[in-house]
Amino acid sequence: MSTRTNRPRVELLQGTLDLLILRTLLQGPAHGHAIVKAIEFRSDDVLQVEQGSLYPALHRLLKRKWITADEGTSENNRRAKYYRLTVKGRRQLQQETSKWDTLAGAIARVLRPVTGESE
Amino acid sequence: MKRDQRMADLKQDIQDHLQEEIDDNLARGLSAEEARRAALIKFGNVTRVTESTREVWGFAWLDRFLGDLQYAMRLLWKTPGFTVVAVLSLALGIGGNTAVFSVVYSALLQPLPFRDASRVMILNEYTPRVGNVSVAYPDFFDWHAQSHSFSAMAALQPVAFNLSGLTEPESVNGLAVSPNFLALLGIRPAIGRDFDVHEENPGATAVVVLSYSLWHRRFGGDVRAVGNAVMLDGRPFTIVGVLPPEFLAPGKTDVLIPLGVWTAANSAELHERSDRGDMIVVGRLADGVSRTQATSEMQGIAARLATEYPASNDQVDVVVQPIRDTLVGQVRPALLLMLGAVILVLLIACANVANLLLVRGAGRADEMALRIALGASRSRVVAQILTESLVLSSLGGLIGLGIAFALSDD
Repeated sequence: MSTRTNRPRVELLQGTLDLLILRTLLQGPAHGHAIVKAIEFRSDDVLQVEQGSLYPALHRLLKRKWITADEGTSENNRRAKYYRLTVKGRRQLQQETSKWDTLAGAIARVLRPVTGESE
Repeated sequence: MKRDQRMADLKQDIQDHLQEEIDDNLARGLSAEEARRAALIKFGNVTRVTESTREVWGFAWLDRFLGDLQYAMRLLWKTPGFTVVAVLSLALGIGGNTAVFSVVYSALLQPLPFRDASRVMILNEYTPRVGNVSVAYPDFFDWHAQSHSFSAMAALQPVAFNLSGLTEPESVNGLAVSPNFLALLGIRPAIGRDFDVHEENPGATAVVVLSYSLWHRRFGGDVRAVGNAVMLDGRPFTIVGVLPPEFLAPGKTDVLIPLGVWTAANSAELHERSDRGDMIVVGRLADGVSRTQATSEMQGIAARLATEYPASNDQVDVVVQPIRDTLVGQVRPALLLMLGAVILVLLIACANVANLLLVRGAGRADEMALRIALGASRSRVVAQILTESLVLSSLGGLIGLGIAFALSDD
């Protein structure tokens, strides 16, 4: 993974890529390259996705019928496969998001510096 | 096929993706070469991505296995010396084991085709001078009359007959048996009926039960054979039944006749206590009686007979053995020894092949390093090597079975 920029970069947690893909597709269908770019952009380039790892994830989501794929044309006027969120995927995203919020909140509470505790 | 189509599709998607990134990089002002290089770095190992995507589809292991199989066979074909030595070592080891084990199985392990065979005993007389000897016919009658340990007791005497009355005469082996012999073993005739108790008595119609193979050979398996007569040593016997095909007595028994009928015609020698033919006695232990109990009762009877008939029965004892022991008694240690020997041969063969594989493996360190550098996981490399071994041992097993078949086919 590239570390050539100054901004600190964080590798994705195991299993979170699926969630990020679903969230990205909530905005509308996108092709693989655009999905990676969107994740990086929306995280202010903090989250680094090894672009290749997108494909196993996409195919896993396809298999679970959370997304579908259609042929399309990219902004650069190239053939590209567009992935689209299904109804089932939307429901899954809601579930996963609330699960994630609970988890992240809990972790944050555990890690929060305790007032009065000397550093 | 569908999977190939899917694979091509995935590869196209990945190429499209890389092209997007290259376009972006070019737009950022990188040179064509740099743009491509940066895109590839950012994407990661294309082969590994393809592989792990394929795993998501399922059945990837099958593809991998088939690929490994192909590769293994090519490799073995390219090193014929190694392959021939390894396969032959395994084949000899496996072949020897299979051949010996088939014998061990049928002699020691396979259930005997008798009802409750472990309760069936063979009774012999025993003298300190000779060991086991055949039973004198009069002694059998006394045993039968005096013992209570056996629910049934039957005597049998091997006999050879001249079979005639059909198209051409032939010599057949037979058994003259007490009429309850088949019932004692729990064998029912395939067609027709068993002997009747009275058919042993003097003056009864002479009857015969044929073996399944004789019935097929001489009567073409015709059920109407029952009721016909055959000549045994020039005397007519009416066929009353046919033995089931699984009935196997030592020496290819082809006819059974009632013992009394045979002794009546050959009585002179057999009715003397001191004369012994080749008579064997079988008994089925009565319910709740152990072999030890039966033995001690029989020894008591033998002791009484010894005092009553000292001329013939002095020092004559009785031995009671399970039927399997008497069938395989003497060969058992030899069989086990042979089994041990061939197992050792197999172990040596395995060690031999393992050494060969080890040497070859050491020579392939470079190949493995390359595979791992290209992104093969550890388990992937192990799977490939195991597939090679699998091909090797399957070949050895196949040829070994052929050898076993050739060895035991007589």
